[in-house]
Amino acid sequence: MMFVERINEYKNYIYRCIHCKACRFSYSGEPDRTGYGSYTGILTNCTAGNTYGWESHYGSGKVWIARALIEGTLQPSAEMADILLRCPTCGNCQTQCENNIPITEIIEALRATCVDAGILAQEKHRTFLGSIKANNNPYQEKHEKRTSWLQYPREQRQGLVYFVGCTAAYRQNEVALATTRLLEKLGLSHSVLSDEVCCGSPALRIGHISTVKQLMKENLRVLRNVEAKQVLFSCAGCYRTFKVDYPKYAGNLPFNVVHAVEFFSDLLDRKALMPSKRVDQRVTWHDPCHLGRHITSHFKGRASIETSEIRQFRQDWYEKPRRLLTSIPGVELVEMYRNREDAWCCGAGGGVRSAFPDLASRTAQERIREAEGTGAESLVTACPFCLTNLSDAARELSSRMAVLDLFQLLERSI
Amino acid sequence: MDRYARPSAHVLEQLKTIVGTEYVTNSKPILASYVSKGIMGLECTVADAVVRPRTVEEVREVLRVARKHKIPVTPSSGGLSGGFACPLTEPGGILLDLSRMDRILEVDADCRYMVVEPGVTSGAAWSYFRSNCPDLAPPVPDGAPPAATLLGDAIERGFNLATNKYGPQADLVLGMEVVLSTGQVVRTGSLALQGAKPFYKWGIGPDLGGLFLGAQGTMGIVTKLAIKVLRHPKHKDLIAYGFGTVEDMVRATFVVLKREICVLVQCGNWWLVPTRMAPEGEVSLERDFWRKTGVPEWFSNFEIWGEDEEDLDRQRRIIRTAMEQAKTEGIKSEEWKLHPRQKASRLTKPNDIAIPYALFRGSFLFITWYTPWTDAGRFCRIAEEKMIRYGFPPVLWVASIDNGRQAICMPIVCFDPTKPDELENVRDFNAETTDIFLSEGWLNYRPDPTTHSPKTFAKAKEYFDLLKKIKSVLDPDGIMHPGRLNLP
Repeated sequence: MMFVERINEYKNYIYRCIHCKACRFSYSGEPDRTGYGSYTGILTNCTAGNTYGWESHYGSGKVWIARALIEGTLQPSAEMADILLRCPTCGNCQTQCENNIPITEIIEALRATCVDAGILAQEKHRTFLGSIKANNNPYQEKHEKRTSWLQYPREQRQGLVYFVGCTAAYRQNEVALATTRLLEKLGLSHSVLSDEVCCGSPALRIGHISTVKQLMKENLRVLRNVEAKQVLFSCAGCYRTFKVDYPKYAGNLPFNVVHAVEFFSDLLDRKALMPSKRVDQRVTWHDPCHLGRHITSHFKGRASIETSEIRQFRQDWYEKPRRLLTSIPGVELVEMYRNREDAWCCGAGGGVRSAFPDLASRTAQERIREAEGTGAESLVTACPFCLTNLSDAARELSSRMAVLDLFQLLERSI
Repeated sequence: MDRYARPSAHVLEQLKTIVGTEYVTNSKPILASYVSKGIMGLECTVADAVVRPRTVEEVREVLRVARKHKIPVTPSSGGLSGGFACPLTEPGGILLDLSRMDRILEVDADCRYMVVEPGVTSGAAWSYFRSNCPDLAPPVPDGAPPAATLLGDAIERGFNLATNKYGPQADLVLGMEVVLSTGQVVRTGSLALQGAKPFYKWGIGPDLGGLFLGAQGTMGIVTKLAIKVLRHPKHKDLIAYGFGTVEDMVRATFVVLKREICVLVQCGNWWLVPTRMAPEGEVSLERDFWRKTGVPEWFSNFEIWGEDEEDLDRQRRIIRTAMEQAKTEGIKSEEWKLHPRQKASRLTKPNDIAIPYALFRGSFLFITWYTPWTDAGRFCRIAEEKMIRYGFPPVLWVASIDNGRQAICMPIVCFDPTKPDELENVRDFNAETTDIFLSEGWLNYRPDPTTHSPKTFAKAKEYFDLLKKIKSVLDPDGIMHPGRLNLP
């Protein structure tokens, strides 16, 4: 029973699971809704469960694994860690659960429990954990190159800081460039800090909490040094980590945390952003899990009763990227069947892309096919990690679907 | 239990040869993930292995190996039915997870039936019909989430979206294919005749189908189900009435039921509302509070389907006229004007409206009984008094079967599963009420193996003896799990 402290915190929620298995669907409450092709009615929406089929790979099965740990009938093991890690922690199960069980948090606590018990991480996870420690990023790139994409340095005190994140800094420079160009075009001065380090999301999602705490400490030190007032993110994963996880360990942060989607949509509302150049494209929008479900779940918190405030927040939140897209002259937005709270995950998160590339690829390919079904020319998103995984899947499928970042599209329209 | 063995490494290898390496496991975390307690029962044990066959031939081969090595087998169609589709006795043996057998094999829109494999969920069936046969509906369970399987609901003789009109799910069954533990494949209904379609419920002699309905897999493994599909008109409505007493609810509702127009009639008391909303302490349990929000003490929902609005209007008139007639008999009632969202949540199928009762105290049990409709009021009075005495909120749900010929009455027992004392309390409540309800001549639905089955069969000894004899014929080595009937 020595490793169950983290799980015990969720005991009352874990015992709520009646194994109804609703958590594996994207039950929109509209079972009669028709889409295109096989995308109609009630679809399953669990990437790991759909792939492996064992009960243990669905959200409900993991809750019962947690219960067995609490009851002492099961101990942490490499076998258990392997099951737990084959999940991108997309959060679908949590949002579907009618009994309000925080399943994603429980999965992360189970992973941390395995780490506490000294269970070795997957080999690929060990590689990126080592790189985070040595280079401040999971990509085995030198820290010094973090801002090499930047044409000229920018640093100011008491202002807006753009936290680039490792993926945009080392793999998806276009996202970082588009974001900074947008800020420049709008005349918004900002800092990009060469001292920022990995936000810790990759480590946190696989249960390495002590690593995250160290990284958080360093990031907060750097941001405090420049007396940041507002920190802007183009990465959904970094944003989620700052918004949801850092306050758990550090309390209230001394700056506002804002994703570029909410930042630019706010400017749009205030008419400070007015896209004017035509971008003639039929596009569809992929809701990143860390920007979608994870944030709406966070806003809901432990509330049992869905208040009108929660409903309104969810509605407004998911509309923000859509309003940005449709504000661009010439852009026609067509929705995929599974969208917003019911979106199918890209498959990259939760350490899956590094350790289980086949699962990540298969999941992303499913999303590309769903996007193709809409007749859109481009699949647009606002997370460089989703962008990477979906782009790879489009290539693997020889799809004609272009995978784009929202801020690239937006920047072209200004 | 000496008569049973656990699967050895050698047996696991044999099973892998049959269904494929990736579909057999004795991984402890995977085995733990299949455990389930709640909704229908508190008993469940961990299987020794989970096997996921894809074909009938694989099922036969798995049974052949299990029989040779005396390993108990528990089939599960896909849902876990609150643990009752899991092994219940030690050793757990093989849990046969049939979720890979998930094909809709046939839909005959003229004869209006479908043939499905065990793992076809109501969600998948609903989606298929929306795309391919929008004027028809598969008989999905009502109140259950989309993961519930059509076959599981049928062999449980459960509740469907039109049970008031068509009876329990088992009444819609036209035929089955069943693999016995001996490997023999039996077909029932017209399917029994080689080459015949499953168009007719009754077979080529005395019907064997009843042996497998209500047996929860202990007599054999149902690998195909032919079941009626229903006409599904687009026009629907829900009319609700409130009453001051359960007796008034039962009497007034009966006046409507005898007109035989509703597809579904579900009733209950006001406790059904707060206990599915939030944890205890976060929701008001003051009757006055809920009275002010318009929730009646007792209520009935009448669901009607019509070909057009005119047809619905006619049915609405019948219900309202019946309620007026009831008033002349001294019954007080008032129409309960539901919010459109309340109506929608009930009319939407499949819905998971029955699920959130775990919010209130952490878990819940549906302890379900059949009574004649006219006994439903008395049932509720007894259950209400006992629930209060045992410290449970008296949450009571009642529904009509077959236009009021029977009622299904269900105390929803909300309890804290983390407290062992409370589990004992649930068991004591169950035992005491079982004695009372059986003495009234009422029947348990989905009996549990420790209370309902022994107490029921003690009052039906000859029937139980015959069942045991029949089981020994169908399952001569006794490898099929004893199940909830506790059939050895």
